[in-house]
Amino acid sequence: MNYEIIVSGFGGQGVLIFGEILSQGALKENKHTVWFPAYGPEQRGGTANCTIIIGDEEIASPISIDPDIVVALNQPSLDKFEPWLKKGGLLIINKTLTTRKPLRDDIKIIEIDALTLAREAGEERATNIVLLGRLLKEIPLLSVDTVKEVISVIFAHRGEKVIAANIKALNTGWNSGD
Amino acid sequence: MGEKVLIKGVEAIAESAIRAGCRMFFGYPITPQNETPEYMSRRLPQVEGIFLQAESEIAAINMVMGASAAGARVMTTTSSPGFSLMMEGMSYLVGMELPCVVANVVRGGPGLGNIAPAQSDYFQATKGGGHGDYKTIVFGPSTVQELVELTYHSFDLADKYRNPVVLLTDGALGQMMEPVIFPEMRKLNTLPEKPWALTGALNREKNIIMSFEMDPKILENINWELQKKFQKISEDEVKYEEYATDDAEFVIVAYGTIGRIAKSTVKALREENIPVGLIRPISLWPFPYGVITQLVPQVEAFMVVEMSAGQMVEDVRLAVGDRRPVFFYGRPGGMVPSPRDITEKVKQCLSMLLS
Amino acid sequence: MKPVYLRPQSMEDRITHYCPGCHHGIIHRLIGEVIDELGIRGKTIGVAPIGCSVFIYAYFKLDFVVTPHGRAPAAATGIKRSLPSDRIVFTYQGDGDLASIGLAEIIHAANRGENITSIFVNNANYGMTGGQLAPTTLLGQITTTSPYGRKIAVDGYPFHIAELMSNFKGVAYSGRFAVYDPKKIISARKAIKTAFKNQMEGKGFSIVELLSNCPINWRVSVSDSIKFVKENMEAEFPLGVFKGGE
Repeated sequence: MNYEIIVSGFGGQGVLIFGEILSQGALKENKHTVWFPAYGPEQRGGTANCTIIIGDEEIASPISIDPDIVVALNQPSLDKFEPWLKKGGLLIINKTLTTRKPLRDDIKIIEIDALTLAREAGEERATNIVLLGRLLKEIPLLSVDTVKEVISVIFAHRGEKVIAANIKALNTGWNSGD
Repeated sequence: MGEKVLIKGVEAIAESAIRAGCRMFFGYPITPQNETPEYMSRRLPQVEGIFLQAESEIAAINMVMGASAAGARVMTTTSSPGFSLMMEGMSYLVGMELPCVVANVVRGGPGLGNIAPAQSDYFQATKGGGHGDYKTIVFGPSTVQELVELTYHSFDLADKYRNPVVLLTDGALGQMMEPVIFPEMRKLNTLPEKPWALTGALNREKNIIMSFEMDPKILENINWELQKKFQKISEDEVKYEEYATDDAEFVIVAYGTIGRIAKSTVKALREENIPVGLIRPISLWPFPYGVITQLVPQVEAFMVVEMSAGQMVEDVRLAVGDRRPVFFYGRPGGMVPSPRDITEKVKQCLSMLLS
Repeated sequence: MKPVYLRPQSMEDRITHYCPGCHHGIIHRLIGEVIDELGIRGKTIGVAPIGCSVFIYAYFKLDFVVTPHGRAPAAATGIKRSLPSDRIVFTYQGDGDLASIGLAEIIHAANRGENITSIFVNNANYGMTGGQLAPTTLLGQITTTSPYGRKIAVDGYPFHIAELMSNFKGVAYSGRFAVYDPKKIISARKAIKTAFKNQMEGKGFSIVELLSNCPINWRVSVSDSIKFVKENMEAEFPLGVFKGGE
């Protein structure tokens, strides 16, 4: 099957990178994938979001109207995408930047104080990676080793320290449910 | 074959062009295609090619004209308003029988419009667009891999027919990343010879390249020769994808981004045992009239879906005539219909047919 | 008998279509002589404009392209950058082509220091289309679209190309010349040679503006047209080298 994922947040929260890590990982594991950003002025301010599709079937539409997974990094993203989720879908929320509880009772909901966890991991900018870690724990879209390899490549230009902190953030996210 | 890489459509165009032997690029910034000239400005100097940012789209297409006249494989990319500015040059290029590849990453119009994905330049691209009786080959890819393959192929076709080839795409495909395999780097010494090119008339007769003939009798003949070429292209270069049409009683016709979205619709409707199929034109000129005409006897009705107020629908109606209803569903202005939107429209059309 | 005056080898044995007395023919010949003298016939590519000289390709034994109105410098850029650096590319443009519709292209080619040569023929009106107002039309000059004479309040001032071009760092040479008497012709020939030699030496953009007559559209005799160039045009458009003199 194919998983459809929407990741959304403020510009600068690493929403697009979150998606790119998933798609690069899917490529490594020889799965079908597409990474489709909402582009243009939306990138700045407001909500930035991207759709990622991963799976073993050919991907036709790059647009997801009833995603299996929504990752909301801020309140506007929760407001916008919670109603889109497929019944039984997974909603992961960055509790640090949301002001209300989700409304639906027909989905699985996970709330994480991702910014605090990212700070604990030593990389404040890794909120997105904490959420990614938790997503992988809930649904094994890709192996964690693959994702770690991708993180090492994507952050290579920012040095070993940043890579290590992001991998720590990924582990922190993974362990946040225990 | 190379390995798979994840790449954006607008960057994939550039790399594929280089693989095809394109070493000259002239362009002007306009969203949403800026990554193509940016990629070219990084990559071309690495392969002894030349990137030059022109002072306008008008200058860009005329620089393309010069490079093509000198025998180079050359390309430019732009988006709708810029494509309009290039129309005079396109008309000249066809009249001069000069090959080149032009990608139009179409955005919402008219006028300044917006930068969202659209298909509203279909008429402009497929019916000539500039002045005079002419055609350019036009492709409407729907995946990044197809964009790569068609870009590569376009350079060969442009040289084969000495005619510009247009890649008609949009920001959705342009900004999307998908895994692709690039073709091998073409060896420049395997590119076709161009004895007609302007290289200096040393030890040969001079070459003149122009689209100019004062004598109407002669210009008429030149035009008929061009038309023969267009006829040949119409016979030999049609491309399309047929999906689930074998037993289809209702057929959607859609191209490019919306072509792949409509494919999801067809899959969903098939799960409900509704016999729907898809024709996805890949060459928009020459348009695949034949395959649509052939389906007329088995099909109850057609529906055309476009990100415009209705342009390709006219070609589908030409193919179908008044033998079957041709419904239309479109969203202009940069709106992208979802698979569910299309599904609902198909169901509405089906119930209209029943009543 | 030994001939003392022959057609340049880089020119076709052909009578031009230009109007009687028109200076295009003289300017063509000067280019032909310079190309012969520099020995570059086999590696020179000409870029023709739209206007009277759209037919220039017919008079030279050179590769030629006819480009859209005003776009010759852009096309020349594409040609020059695609070919080996020893190839010589020149544009031949009139005042409507270069100074009006093609102003952006000529300025940017000049400012890039594009290593090409531009021959600019200024006859103070649109010749091919029947004598309309050009950017270079003189104040008070009557044309078919300034029937009461050019007025500042309507069309502003005559456009000075040679001076404008001299302001760009990319320009190696910019000068204005005339071709109505032997002395002037000798100077113009020298300027054209410099403009081509600069290109051979990779010095960047060179432009030669040549004041020309247009007796038919000006509706005067050839001798009166020469008088007009000498007395009226030269008063507005002074001759001389504005950049890159020897």
